[in-house]
Amino acid sequence: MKIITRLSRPPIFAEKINDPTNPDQHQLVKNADLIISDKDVTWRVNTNSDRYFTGKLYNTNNRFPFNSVIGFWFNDQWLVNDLAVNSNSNGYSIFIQPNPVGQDEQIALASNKKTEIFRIAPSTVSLELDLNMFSRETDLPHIKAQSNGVRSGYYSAAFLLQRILADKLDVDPTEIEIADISMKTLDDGTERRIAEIILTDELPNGSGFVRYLYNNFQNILAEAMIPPDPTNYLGKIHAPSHQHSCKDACYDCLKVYRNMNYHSLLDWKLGLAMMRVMSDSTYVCGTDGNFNDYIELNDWLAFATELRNSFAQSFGFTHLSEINRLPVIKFGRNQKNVIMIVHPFWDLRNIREANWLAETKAEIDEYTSSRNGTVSIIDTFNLHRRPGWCYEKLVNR
Amino acid sequence: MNKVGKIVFRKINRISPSQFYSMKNCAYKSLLAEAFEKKPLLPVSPNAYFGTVLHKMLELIAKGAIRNEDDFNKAFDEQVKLQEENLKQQGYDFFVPLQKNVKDFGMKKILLKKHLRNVSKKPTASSGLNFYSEKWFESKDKLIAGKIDLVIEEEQETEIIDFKTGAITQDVLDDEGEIFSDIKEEYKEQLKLYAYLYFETNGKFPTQLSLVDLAKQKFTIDFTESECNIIFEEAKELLKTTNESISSEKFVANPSEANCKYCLYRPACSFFLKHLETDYSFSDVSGSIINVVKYQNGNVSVFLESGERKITVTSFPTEKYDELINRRDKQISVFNLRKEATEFVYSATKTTIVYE
Repeated sequence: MKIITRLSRPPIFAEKINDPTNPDQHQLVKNADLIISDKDVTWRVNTNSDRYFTGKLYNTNNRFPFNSVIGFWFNDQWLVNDLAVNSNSNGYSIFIQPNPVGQDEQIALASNKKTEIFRIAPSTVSLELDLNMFSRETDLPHIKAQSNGVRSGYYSAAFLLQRILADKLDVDPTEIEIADISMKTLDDGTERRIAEIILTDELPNGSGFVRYLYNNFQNILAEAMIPPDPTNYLGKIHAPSHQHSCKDACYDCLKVYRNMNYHSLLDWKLGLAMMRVMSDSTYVCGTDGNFNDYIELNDWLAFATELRNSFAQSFGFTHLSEINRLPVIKFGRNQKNVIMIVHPFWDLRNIREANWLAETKAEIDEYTSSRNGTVSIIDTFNLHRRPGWCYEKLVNR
Repeated sequence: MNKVGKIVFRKINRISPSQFYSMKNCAYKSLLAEAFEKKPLLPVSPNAYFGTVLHKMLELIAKGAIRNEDDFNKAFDEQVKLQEENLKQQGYDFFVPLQKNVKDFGMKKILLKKHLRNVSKKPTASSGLNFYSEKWFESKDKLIAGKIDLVIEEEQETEIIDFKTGAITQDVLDDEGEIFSDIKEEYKEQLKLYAYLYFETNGKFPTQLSLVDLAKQKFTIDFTESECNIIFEEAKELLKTTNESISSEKFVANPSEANCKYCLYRPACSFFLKHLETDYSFSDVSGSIINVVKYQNGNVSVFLESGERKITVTSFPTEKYDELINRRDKQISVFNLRKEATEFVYSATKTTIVYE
C-alpha cells in the first residue's frame, strides 16, 4: 500500500489567472454553476507525501571509462541529501564534494501547464443539507465524520463525470484530470461552505474534452439522472443488478486502476446524489422522509438498517428499534442513550426546516432527555467503511 | 465610522426580574443601556428576535388562541414576518430571512408544535382553573416589575410558569466534585422575584414556581418565602447603589467572558476595552491601524498593533478601504469578528462593526 501511495501521481491544483481581456465563460445549467477557462494554469505538486525533499548545493565529479582520470566537475548541483553519496561501479563513478554555500533546504517538486479548466459547483443547496467537506477543528465529531461522506460525494461525482465524458467521447478517462476540489461559500445569506469540482484536460493547451462537457452539460446531466440507453456506462450503473450488488463502488462504476488512491472514498450513490443536487435545487436527499423516488436513496433505509444490525452485533448492542422509520440503537441503563443512523449529506448541525428529519430528531431528543441520556450520530458512509472507528469516536457513552 | 461620543448616564427607575441577575453581575452594563436609551451599539443577535417569535407563540398557545395546526402555521409565519419587518426597519436586513440566520429554526418549530398538541389536554376555566398569560406585576414601590408568562390559579394552588426557549439547566459540580445538572441560578432568582411580586399584589405567595422549555420539559424551583424576600431586598439595594454610582462617578464593572460576550454596549465600556488589551479570547479586537491592504478579489485586510501583538483582520468589503486607510495610526475597536485557525487572525462577518 505504501509503495502504491509513493508511486501514485501527485494531486493537481488549479490556479486562477485574472485576465480582463479573456474572461472566463460562465453558465447556469439547472442548479449547476459552470465555468470554463482556457487561460488558467494547473500545477502538479509532489510534496513527497508531505515529507518534502531535503537537499542542498554540492559540487560533483563524474568519471567515465573513457575519462577515468580527471572526470568532469559539475558545480552548484542541487542534490537530495539521501542521494548525495559517492559511488563507483564499472568505471562509472561520482564523487560528491560539499559546496561552501550549500545550506539544507526543503522543497516540493512542481510542474505546471496551461490547459482548459472546467469548474462546477451547486448554485444553491437546500437548507436541509450540509455539503461542506471542509470541517473545522472545533466541529463536533459527527460533523467531522459526515464531512468525509460529503467529500466522497464530490469526488465520486467528479469521477462519474470523468467516466461519462470518456465513455461519450470514447477516450481514456486519464485524458481528463480531476484537480484538487476547492472550497466555495454559498451566496444565499447562510454563509454555508460547499466545494467546487475542477476537471481539466490532461494535455497542455487543452484537447477540447472539458469544453465538450461545458457545452453539453445539460444533456449529460439529464442522462446521468435518467440514462436513455441501458447498455452504456450510465445505463449499467442504474441497472437493478448493479444497484443490488454494488454497495459503494466497483470496477463497473467508479473504480479504475488509476484512481486507486480514491477507492476507499468512492461511492456511486453519493456521487449520483451530488449530481442530483446539481440538477435539482429542491432535492433534500431524504430529509423529508421520501426515499422512494430516487435511485440513490430508494434502499437507503434498508442499507442503514443492515449496517445498524451488523454494528450492533459486532459491539454487543441488543436494543434495536426504529424511531419514525429511522434505524436506531438504544443502550445504557434503562436504554437511555440512542445512536441514530443518518445520511452523510443531512445537516444535523443546524436543522432549519420543520421536516421528517426534524420530527425524528425531536422525538429522539425527547426520548433521551426524559431519561437523562445522550444522542450519538453515525452516518452510513463511515458506518459502512469503518464501524470500529465509529464505535470509538462517535458513540457517546 | 461609528463613534460612541460622550456618555450621559441616567438614573434607572425600575428593574425587571429577568434583568436582575445580569445587573448583579455587571451593573455598569445596565447603566450603559440606560444611558443609550436601550438602543444597542451592536446588532442584536437574530436568535433574540426568533426567541420573541417562540415566546409569542407559546403565549398564544397558552391563551388558547391557537388550537390547531393550521392556526399554528399561520400564526408562526405571521410572527416570523413581523420580526423580519422589525429587523429590516432597524437596518438589519442581513438577518432576513430568519430561517437562514438562526440555529435550528425547523427543529424549534417542531418543538413548538408539540406544545400545541398538549393544549387540548389542558382543563378549561370552567373547571375552577384560571390562566393569566403575560400578566404585569410590580412591587408597591414600583422599583421591581415585570411580566409573568403564565399564572395558573386554583383555589388553594398557584403556579407561576416562565417559558424558556434556550437551555434551562447547566452542569455544576457538587461538594464531592461530581457533575450534576442544575437549573441556572439566574432563572431561580428571576422566578423567586416573580413570586415576591405576586405576593405584593395578591397577599399570598404562589405554591409552585416552574420553568418550561421548548421540549415541554418542566423544571420546578424549590423556594421559601424568606428567600423571595431576601432577593427582593437585594434587588432594591442593587438598584439604589447602582444609581448612587452615577452621582459619585465611581463606576465598577466586571469584565469577563460571561458578562461581556453578549453585552451590546461593549463599544462604550472603557473597562471592557482595557480588558481586551490582555484577553484575546473574545471575538473583538482593539489596536492601532498599521496598514490596510486591498486584494485583487476586492477583499480588504487591516493590520493592527496592540502592544506587542500584531493582529490581522481579513475579509472587509471593498467599500471599507478608504474609511480604514484614512485612519492609519489611529486606534480602532472591531467587534463581532470570526476567529480564524491562525492565532491573532480574524475575519469580518456581516455583523462586524468598527468603532473609533
